Amino acid sequence: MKHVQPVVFAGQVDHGKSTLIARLVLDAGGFPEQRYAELEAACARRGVPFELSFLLDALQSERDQAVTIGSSFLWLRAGERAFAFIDAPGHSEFLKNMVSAASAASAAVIVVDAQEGFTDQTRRHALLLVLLGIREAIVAVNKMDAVSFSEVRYRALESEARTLLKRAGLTLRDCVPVVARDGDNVVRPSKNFAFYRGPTLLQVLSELAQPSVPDLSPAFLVQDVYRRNGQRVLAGFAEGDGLEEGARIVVMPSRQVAAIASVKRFPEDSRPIEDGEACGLVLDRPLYVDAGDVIALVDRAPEAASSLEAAAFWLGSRVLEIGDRVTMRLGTREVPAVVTQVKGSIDLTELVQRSASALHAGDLGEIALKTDLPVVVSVNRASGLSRFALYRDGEICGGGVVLEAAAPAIEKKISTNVRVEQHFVGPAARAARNGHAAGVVFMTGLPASGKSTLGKLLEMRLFERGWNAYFLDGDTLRTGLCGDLGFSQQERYENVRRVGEVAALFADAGCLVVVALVAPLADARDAARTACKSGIFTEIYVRAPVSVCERRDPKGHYRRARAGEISEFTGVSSVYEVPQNPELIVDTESATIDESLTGLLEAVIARYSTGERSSSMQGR
Amino acid sequence: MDRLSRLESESISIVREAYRRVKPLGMLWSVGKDSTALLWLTRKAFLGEIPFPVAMLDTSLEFPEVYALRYRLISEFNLDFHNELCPPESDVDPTLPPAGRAAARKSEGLKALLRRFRWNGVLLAIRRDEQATRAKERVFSPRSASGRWEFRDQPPEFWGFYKTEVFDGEHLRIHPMLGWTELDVWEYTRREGIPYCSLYLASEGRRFRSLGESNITTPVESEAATLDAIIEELRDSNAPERAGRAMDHESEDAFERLRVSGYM
Repeated sequence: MKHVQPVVFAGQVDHGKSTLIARLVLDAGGFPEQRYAELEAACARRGVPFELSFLLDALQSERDQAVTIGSSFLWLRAGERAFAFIDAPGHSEFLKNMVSAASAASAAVIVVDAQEGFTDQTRRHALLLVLLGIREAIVAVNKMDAVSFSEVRYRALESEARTLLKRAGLTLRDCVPVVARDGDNVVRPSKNFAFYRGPTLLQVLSELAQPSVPDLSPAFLVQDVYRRNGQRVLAGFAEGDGLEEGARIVVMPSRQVAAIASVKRFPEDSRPIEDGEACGLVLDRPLYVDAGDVIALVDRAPEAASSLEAAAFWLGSRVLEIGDRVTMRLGTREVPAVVTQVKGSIDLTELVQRSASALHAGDLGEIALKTDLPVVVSVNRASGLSRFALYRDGEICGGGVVLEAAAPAIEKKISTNVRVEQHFVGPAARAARNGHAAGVVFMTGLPASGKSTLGKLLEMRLFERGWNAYFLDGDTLRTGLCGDLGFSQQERYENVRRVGEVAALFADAGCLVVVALVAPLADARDAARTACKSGIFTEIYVRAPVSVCERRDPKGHYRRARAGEISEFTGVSSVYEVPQNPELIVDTESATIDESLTGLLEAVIARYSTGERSSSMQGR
Repeated sequence: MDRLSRLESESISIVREAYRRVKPLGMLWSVGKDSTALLWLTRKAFLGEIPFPVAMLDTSLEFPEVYALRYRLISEFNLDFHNELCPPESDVDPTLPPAGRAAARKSEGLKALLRRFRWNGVLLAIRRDEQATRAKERVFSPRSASGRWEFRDQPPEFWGFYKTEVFDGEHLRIHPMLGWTELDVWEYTRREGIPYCSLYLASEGRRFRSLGESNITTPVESEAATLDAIIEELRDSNAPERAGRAMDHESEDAFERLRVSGYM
């Protein structure tokens, strides 16, 4: 199948975009006869002369008001070329329809009325085309009959077009004088233009270069994570060629390193991944990877940043000001952000940026944003990692491209110069003095499953026996050490990781640490297990069904989560991955607290008493 | 990648985006060429399975060949299938013209289906090149509780960013194949070896280009008796695909009225 070139027609309302597209398709023979007859009948019923634009303006209200409301598409095959012509509404009220239309295109025709000339709206469209990634445009000077096919007028507009497009950042392909209504110079050359010997509009369109595949560093944008046959499959799409099985990769922004174990497709096929392809990846080790992460080659990783400067357009009815909070989607990442600066908006008459304190609907300008979490970005405009949309209250209100990105203040980086110190007092010596082995008793379960209650009682009973026991509570740590973390999947992971590291330090000091943490993600619990190097790690699943936890609900969290007041609440709106292989399961649904505690205490004493570990608890 | 592979990947990303952000989610399947291609690429998106229900709006007036293929593919694709019997014609807007009334049974069936499963999103295989009002559609297209399409106030969408949030009573119509053409669908069907209904092939000089209810769908003149011949025919023809769908042509605004009030 040959390539189909999507071309958007932009410009001021009433300058003749819909008519020009319809004329192109009609004269090139792509207009079905049956539809032609239907249009003739529709015009006759309205008592208006035959109206070509009705081919695209199919809605009753568009025909009644003679204005395009919704963007529209029309396909044409002409010789060896195939086009999708996209009609963008020119009315300022329908700017969001124009943006939607133009973002689907790879080239543009800017239509300008010979009498009226370029308007602010035409210039706004030109700037939006650039922001949306279009590099070159054709200018069609329409309604030349209304200026008596004047060469002077055409030359003046051609010169203005040249200046305007250059300042906007577009390459002018050609400037073609036409009469869309009658078909002059659209597909057929016209004798009415004594001064013009250049190509017709269709000829110019046919000579447009096919959009080239941009040269991008290979990256895989993770859209979702599926579990298949016990494997974590990262679902997403690639930009740039070059990712394949065996490739050494880094997960951004967490900087975890791994290799691609396999490329997942249905039916199975392990060829290398191509630019634009949607497929799946399995890594060779169980890293925690979340939607929004980016997989890249270790030596060609994009940067993570949280301070961004961007060129943006705004469509929202409420203005965008400094301090406004928005939700940003960039690549496959969604992250809350705050507007830290409005640097200016563009004066559409002069095409220069003037200082401004806000962006209003229809404005283009420069802004600075600070994201709550680092995002993986590129300043290469061909990369999807440079493009974002801004949401407010669930609605898309604007978008833009990243111009500059600064790294977040704190980054996880382990320097190669750092090494672990060896103590002169080792774990065995500490265990001998304390009379018990050190380690981490890690209790995981749904909110209100009884973890903290059991944890505190366990701490007390062990302490009474003379053990060096200490209780670490997840909620308490969130008020201090983890006070900067929220409840996204990534922040939950980081929370558990930190608690795991702290618990490991206590264990290294000889303590028996009792941790109570929801810790919904299996990968994060595994990270806590890995961190506990010098003690014995015990994963305990405190089990109670959601319905039971919800009935208990001592803190009222479930009620508020159901009411939508708390988002991302585990068990209600956020996932809990049930431990597949815990050392112990404590059932709190049927047993009383005392019963649960007795079983728990026995198991812990058996496992940590020096020299007499229970055989039933071994095995991991 | 070639055009078909790009279209397929884009559609897969849209289906995955819908699955990630819109819950609960379902899919409409008419057993026609477009929704069967959607079913096919959805299996690819989720590596061989479809993790949500697939429903057919059944007027009991579909062609026998359609029912036969349906039974075959439900088991071949291991679908979580639901058959939604559409309400009778007496339940639809009486001011619509006759074929429009027959078609509107499906709008009512869809409303009933959405009520039954409380779906916040439903995947459909409509395409922009089929019909001029469908050309104005969004990929993620919000509908009010009554199914109304507010074409004057559609959300912007660009670069694969969509409005994915649903507010009370609303639902999203999600159209992963909006940018495909009829020719794309047939070339994809051929490349992938996707099963299709035999009614699309010419028999005694006529074939169906678009499959609707048997009472309001007529075949067009054609000699294309193989998949290759269909593709050749479409390359040379500019006759409209839905010429044989009576509901589109009863009045100037027939299809627009159907769509604004909830038709697919």
